[in-house]
Amino acid sequence: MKNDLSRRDFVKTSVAAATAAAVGVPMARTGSLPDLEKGLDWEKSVCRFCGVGCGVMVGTRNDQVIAVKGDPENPVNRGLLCAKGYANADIMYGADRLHQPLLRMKNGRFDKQGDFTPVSWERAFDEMEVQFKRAHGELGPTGVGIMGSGQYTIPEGYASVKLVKAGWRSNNIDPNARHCMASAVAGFMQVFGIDEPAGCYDDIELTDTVVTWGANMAEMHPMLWSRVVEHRLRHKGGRIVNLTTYRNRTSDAADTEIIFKPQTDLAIWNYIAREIVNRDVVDHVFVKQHCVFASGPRDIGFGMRGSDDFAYEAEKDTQARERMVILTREEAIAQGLNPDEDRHVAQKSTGGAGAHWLISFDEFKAALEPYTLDFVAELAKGDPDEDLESFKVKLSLLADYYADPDRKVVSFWTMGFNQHTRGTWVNEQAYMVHLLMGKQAKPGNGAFSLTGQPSACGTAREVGTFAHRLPADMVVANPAHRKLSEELWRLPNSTLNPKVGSHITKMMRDLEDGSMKWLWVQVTNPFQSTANANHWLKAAREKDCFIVVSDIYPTYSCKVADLILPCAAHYEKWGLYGNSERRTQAWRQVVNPPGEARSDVWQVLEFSKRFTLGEVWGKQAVPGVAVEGTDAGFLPDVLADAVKLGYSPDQTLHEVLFETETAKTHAWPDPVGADHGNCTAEAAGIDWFPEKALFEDYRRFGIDHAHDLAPFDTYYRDDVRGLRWPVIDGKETRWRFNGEHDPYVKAGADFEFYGPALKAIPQGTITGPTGKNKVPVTGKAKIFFRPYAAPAESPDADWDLWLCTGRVLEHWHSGSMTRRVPELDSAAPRAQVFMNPADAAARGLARNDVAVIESRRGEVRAVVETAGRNTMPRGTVFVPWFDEGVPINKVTLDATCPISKETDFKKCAVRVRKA
Amino acid sequence: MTADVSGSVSGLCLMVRPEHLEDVEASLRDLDWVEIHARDEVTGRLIVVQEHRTIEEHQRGLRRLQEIPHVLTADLVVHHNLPLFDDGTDNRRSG
Repeated sequence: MKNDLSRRDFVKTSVAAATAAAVGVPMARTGSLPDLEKGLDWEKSVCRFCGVGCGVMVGTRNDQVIAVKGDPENPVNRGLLCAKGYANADIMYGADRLHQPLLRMKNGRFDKQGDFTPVSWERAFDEMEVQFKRAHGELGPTGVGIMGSGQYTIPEGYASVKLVKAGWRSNNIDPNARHCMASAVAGFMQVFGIDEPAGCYDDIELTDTVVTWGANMAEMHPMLWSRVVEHRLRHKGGRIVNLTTYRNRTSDAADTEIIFKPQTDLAIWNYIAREIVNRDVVDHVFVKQHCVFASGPRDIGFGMRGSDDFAYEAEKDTQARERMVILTREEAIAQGLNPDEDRHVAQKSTGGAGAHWLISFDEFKAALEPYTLDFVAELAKGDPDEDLESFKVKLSLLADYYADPDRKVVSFWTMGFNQHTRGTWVNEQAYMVHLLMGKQAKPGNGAFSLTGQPSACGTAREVGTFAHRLPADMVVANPAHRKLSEELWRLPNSTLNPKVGSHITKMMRDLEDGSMKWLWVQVTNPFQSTANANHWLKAAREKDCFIVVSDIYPTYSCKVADLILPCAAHYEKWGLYGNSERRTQAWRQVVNPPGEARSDVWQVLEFSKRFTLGEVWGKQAVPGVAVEGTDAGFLPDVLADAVKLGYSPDQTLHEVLFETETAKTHAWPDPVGADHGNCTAEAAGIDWFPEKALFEDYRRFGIDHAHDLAPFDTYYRDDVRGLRWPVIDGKETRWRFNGEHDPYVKAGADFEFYGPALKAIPQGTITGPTGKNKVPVTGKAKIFFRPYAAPAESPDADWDLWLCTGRVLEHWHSGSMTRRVPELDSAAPRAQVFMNPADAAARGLARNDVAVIESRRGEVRAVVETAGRNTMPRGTVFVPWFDEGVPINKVTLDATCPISKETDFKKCAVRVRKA
Repeated sequence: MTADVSGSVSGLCLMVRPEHLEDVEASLRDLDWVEIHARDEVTGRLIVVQEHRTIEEHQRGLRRLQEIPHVLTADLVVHHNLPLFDDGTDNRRSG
């Protein structure tokens, strides 16, 4: 080993110069590191991790990704990457990459109690097919399903949704993104009639104020956070406010930190709105021209099962709240009720939680009246050791920022809002405040939902891999949307199933109660990530069901699978992602997958060969479905109409859905892929380009429907680093609904909230609709009044602490990739329970002791941390969920927002004791 | 991997409120594995290089930098985990 100091000095100086150049800090010497990078082939690409969507440069040599660096040309991250971003290569090279299908076998046959045995792809698909057809034959299309992901590439998600909805006529496909941002989607749809943010990341450098609500951006969206902090340091009048239930790294750069009690964000928003109304600073012109006022039912439950048939004994008291709630005194006051009267409220609107109706401004104003500073401060103060007056000063300051007509404000939120039993409501409340002030859809002003996953927007939402959705914001329950989709997919009329399928948590419940018996898990790890996991782990192993998991590593979910399929990792396949600001970005395959690992697209296309139209397009039993002209409870036989379209009952779904004449016009090899492989086409032995064909097939849904994407090849141009849709005439859109920026706004209008969904609603009062006739609210956004509501479960004498769960900077989701990177694993090797030192001491615990964290549903053990990155107020503990050795979702509660069906991972009641 | 090899060098941008630059620089000078290469007093940014023998030490170093009082963000900008020397030694998995 040479110990060449001069070379070391040269390297360090070069590193410093390159760093300074990347971030624009003046330094005498500038330059890069050509000698350290020589011999590598560099290619623009996209980060595999969070929803920020950073651009990366990938360096390869000898069919291996050797190096990753930030892409200086990418406007999202401008050359910077976080610790995870630098691990984009290493996550592909863990020692236990899956190389071969593994089937549970005993004596040469599939056996649910057997050991995992390497098998061929043919054998794997044979068993999948047999088990699928057994479940489908017994239960019909609702007996089978796919759990997908916000980490699906666009072609992957599109292939799966097309197979499930158009092929199997099931709507049982739902992504882990349901756990991530379904409440944001529901909020967008209810308020604007169309999904995804109006603004974009450019707002960060254009605003005066950033307010983070339940968003620890410093750890979860670090590169955006760097932009926020840099702008704050440059902007003397700028302010950052962090609203959170415990101190986290985002507070480090905040001018004001507000620690609030879990769930009381609902009350804080109403306090701000009340201030805006009472100070008479409402932007009346904007509101009158572009908004209406609305409200909805309050007795909507918590998205739990309707009965306690499957509940553990200890769970039954929480579960009973799905049917009957006794309001707290504060809740009654907040809902305009007399707290001294009977506070029992039967939950009668669980089946229509999203219903809403118009109310007047005067009723809206009256409904806000209980939310005084005194009332909200008493309710919301989250740190028992903070002085109430100090808390009031901070709330008042927050209201000042929002209520100042001359101050621009951007509100960011992520899981603290979305993972919330009133997640849709609290999303709506953010828009309530921004719309009242006219601070929405304008440069530097807007309420902005950040997503957690790299293509939660691009795939899960835009492609529509949800149980209720179709591409481009369409839904299966809408006959016109089904008709259009059937035309685009060239399906017989009434092929598509109008009954909404099971959301991801309900699929788990379906496995438990036997209403689903075949499940394919793609690009996700749901048995680690779904709340109340003891139920689902037991069901997977003990119930009559067959579970397939496709992954690159043996995850926690693989342990309960019956069949494991090895996948190609991100840079081993072609892909496109869509980030939080509607930016669609693309990458090429730069290396080959190992062993027998195959792309997810190949797996879906190959499995589709196992079904003829005759097997799936005949009359199908679907409990509860109603299709005109067909027996109740059945989907019609569409085979005769299929023949009229030129299909034969003997044709496979692969031929009809995927290997179409149009698809085959996209030839492989393709000039856009010169000098690159395509593992999908090569494994399939085809001369067409599956990812391009799927993208172009999908793209038709969005054209002229306000979701216009550019042609596939555009995203691969050297001068393109993604484009924000709608992309019209090659030009991206930065601020939607704004006449200066959005071509979809009608000519001459300054703003138009043109989203088409839910734009006719009944008239009503704050207590309910007054008639059934619907009033059109075309072009308007809705300002909702939503009251404070207590959580599904709160601490009490027996379960005396709040539990909040979440992520950490170093690990992605369940840690299945990042924990295989030694540098990330060593930086955060285990999940700890973060506690206030006083709470720990009261339980005989000290830092580094092992504690048991226990709820009505289960328990885990974790090492106590009373310092470090999070500082907990007394009464609240935090446990990250990345560590399969600390499977905290055995403890969490599977209550969801009843509108969005997104689980509340941020609050349930636990107790902690010494192990 | 021998103990005397310096194998991981990275460049970072630390963001600090300008009024705290001197405090942070003083803290950095106490760390023998960090060098300050540039400062921007207007925007409160410091360009530093940290050097470690292993990637694991490097990651721990990054965390320590993030935890220095008044450091608002510590962004890794350039990081090389390839062998820095010509004998083919790979410091990637030496922890």
